[in-house]
Amino acid sequence: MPEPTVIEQTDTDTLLDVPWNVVVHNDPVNLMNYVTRVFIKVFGFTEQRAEKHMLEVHQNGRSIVWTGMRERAEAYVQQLHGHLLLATLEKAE
Amino acid sequence: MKVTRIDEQTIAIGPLDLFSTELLHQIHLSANPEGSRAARERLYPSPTHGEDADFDQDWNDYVEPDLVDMFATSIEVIESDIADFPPARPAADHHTLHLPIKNLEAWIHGLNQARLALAARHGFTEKEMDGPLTGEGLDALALFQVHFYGWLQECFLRVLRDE
Repeated sequence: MPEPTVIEQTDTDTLLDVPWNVVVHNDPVNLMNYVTRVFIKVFGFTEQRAEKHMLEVHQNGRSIVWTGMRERAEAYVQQLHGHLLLATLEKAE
Repeated sequence: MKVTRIDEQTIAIGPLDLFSTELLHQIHLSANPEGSRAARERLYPSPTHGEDADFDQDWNDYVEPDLVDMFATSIEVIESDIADFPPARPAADHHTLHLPIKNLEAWIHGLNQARLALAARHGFTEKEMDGPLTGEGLDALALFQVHFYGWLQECFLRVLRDE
């Protein structure tokens, strides 16, 4: 009987499995009302939730605005860049 | 100067003197990051903070061209709205600019491009942004531009919020 083939798990599999954070970083130029509006538009947040994240960005320098699968996280970062926010992808802890 | 809603489709900005009018015509130049690495990096930032060079390269190759097109579209809308402004007649020191409300999203975006590129090009930090509008020279003019464009953005955001 042949030995079973062991398929090594690749890094890519690992990257796809772990959740990813979409992080928005503070900048001194974007207006607070504008950032709030972008969060509502991109994520469908309520105004209250959007303001909470906007203030987190403003006061703490960054806010995790979404966590989930890599592909969707990339799409959100692209949308946020489209609105000129400083956004990055980070592996969730 | 104030922004007034005329009807369901239109707003008016005025009175605009020649200097303010010139600043509107400077939006497309200010938004162009050409010649400034800092401005370019601000408009097209790394999605990984530079921590994944391969992914950043893919991003540059496949995502950035779409962003470039999107940003150019906003600027084109602005350019088209002010192409014939101020009108040659009647000759006056002040004019009022009428804008379709449907174009305000593009204006907000284009103004943001200009503000971010100017701030990056001139190295403005929180200190300058929150500081007084004093001084002379190109830095002072750029800072004034950033605030003037920001004021317009705020006004347009308010109009859209009241929709």
